[in-house]
Amino acid sequence: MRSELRKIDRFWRVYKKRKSAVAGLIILTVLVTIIVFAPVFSPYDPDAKDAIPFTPPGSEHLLGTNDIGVDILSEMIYAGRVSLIVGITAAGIVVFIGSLIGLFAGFLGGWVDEILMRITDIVIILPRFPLMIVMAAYLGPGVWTIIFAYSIVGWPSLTRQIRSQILSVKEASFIEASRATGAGNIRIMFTHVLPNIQGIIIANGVMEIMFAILTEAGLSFLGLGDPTQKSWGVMLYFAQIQGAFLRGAWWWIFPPGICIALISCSFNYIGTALNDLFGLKLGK
Amino acid sequence: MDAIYRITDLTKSYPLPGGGLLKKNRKVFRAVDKVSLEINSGDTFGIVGESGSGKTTLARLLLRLIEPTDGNVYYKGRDVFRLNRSELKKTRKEIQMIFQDPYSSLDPRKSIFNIIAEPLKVHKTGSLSDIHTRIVETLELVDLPTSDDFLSKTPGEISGGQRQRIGIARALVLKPEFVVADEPVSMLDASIKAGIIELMTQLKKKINLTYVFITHELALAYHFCNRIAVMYLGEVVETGNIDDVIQSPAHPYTRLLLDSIPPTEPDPDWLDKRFGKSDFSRNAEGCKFFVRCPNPKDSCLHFRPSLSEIKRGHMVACQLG
Ligand SMILES: Nc1ncnc2c1ncn2[C@@H]1O[C@H](COP(=O)(O)OP(=O)(O)OP(=O)(O)O)[C@@H](O)[C@H]1O
Ligand SMILES: [Mg+2]
Repeated sequence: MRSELRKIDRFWRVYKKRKSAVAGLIILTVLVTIIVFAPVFSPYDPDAKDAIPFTPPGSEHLLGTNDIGVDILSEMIYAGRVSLIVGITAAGIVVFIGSLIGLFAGFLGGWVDEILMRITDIVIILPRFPLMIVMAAYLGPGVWTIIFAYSIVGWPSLTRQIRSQILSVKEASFIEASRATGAGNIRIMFTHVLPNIQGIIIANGVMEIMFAILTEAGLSFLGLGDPTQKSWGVMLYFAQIQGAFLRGAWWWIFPPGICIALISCSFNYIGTALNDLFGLKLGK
Repeated sequence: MDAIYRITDLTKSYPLPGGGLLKKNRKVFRAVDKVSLEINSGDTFGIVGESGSGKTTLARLLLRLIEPTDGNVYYKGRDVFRLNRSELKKTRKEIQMIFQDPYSSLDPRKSIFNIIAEPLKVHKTGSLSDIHTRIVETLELVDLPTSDDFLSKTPGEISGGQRQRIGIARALVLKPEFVVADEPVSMLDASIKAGIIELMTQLKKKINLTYVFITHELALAYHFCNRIAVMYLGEVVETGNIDDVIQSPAHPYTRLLLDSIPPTEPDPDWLDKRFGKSDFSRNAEGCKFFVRCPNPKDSCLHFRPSLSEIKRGHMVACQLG
């Protein structure tokens, strides 16, 4: 237990030297706190439509209201929940698929590797965004549609990275030592190989969340999101179709846009830092 | 005395870097080259040779950690490379290995407890408390602390000497019948080395096992072993009882090792000058030791000697011997 604490302490000392990574962590903490405790922070009910439509920002409505009289700030805070949950879920699925395929391909090698990597090559050259649009259009708009579409096309680049890490870990002599005790492939893969690349998986997972949130925003903006579960992307979609741009209702457009940018940047900075830090430690 | 291991014409080739895409055009070199040996039950069998002579590769083959290119290994009369998965697992319970590198052979993410417990868990030897008892016993055997604090440490938190003791404990915890110790001290500081050698000596007295002891120091082999094989570039060039080999070495390479002359790399120019032949590779047809032999005959360039008996149980692969 004490050794774990020491490790975390050592990790933090390196981490905190990176300004961007610390900034990312602060922004993320603030955003996530607000989003998680949405009822505390949002001034109004995000479904209440009782304000005057298109009110500009003011003392009563800090970020104004939309076309049906919903308080933008409140709506935005609750929309963060959807964006974040979709992002984390989609990233989780992608990490799961990518790690497993990378693990089996890299560790087992031979024809298993051959087949899995050929599939990966094919999926990686598919035009992602158009394909997701087609899938979403076919399955009907919705949160799960977006998660599904993202999971189908999102895993290959992660898979390749995991696989290359595994190729180096599997040469370590503790793998051979484990085999010599009588351990089989499955045991070795899950008790020795995977734990030794968990840092890389976590770092990539954080980056995946960013990609997933951006993708969700993009697809939702095109109208492929769930109109009853508003995310930041869905907010932008409504802003666009309800004429926010024509009416100059900038307060409806900028806030969700800035939120998307902020959360993406923070995941990006954190992920990059983690990738470097875990990359350095690999093999020790 | 019955042979616990019988090795016949064992060969492991690796492709040389470069070469064509076509498999048959690729040049290979033999890390282990037609090795035949018998290891008797109760032996402490030394395998001696300089770096790159194929000692680790031979050990890996004995435990079937790699597949051979050619040849057979019989453990207790059964071909190791023909065992099916469950037979192999059962066999691995009896044969264990201590690895050369105490740093990379322990999983940095596992606790000491989990590292030593792994063989017991793999072979489902009993409950967690049985495992704990067994681990404590084994740690005492290798002179390591048995406190919970120590058991929860990771390899990164203990010294090199302690790590190698963990490696030894892991090999012994299943109470094997056969243990290969692959240069267990070559990567340790001189001060720590003595302790490990002392421990190995004690263990040899305490536990009656068949050992294969790999080293590049003839003196260490002399200290430990009753029989020995000297390897040079994948081949066994001399084998026999330790006293025979040390007292009347028959192969010039063994003599070279005995004189502890640091073996030098062959000088290719010298060869060209003498024979006007520039394409002399490891795979040439002549004696592999030719280039370094103190007084070779011309015929050694074209003839590769195989092991022949010069005295009962003492074999050498040299025309001059
Ligand atoms: N997987 C491999 N691929 C290619 N060549 C290999 C491989 N494993 C070993 N070799 C080569 O085989 C030769 C023998 O290697 P091995 O590790 O068996 O030597 P060793 O006697 O154990 O040396 P050391 O004392 O340095 O441990 C070396 O030249 C090595 O480079
Ligand atoms: Mg070796």
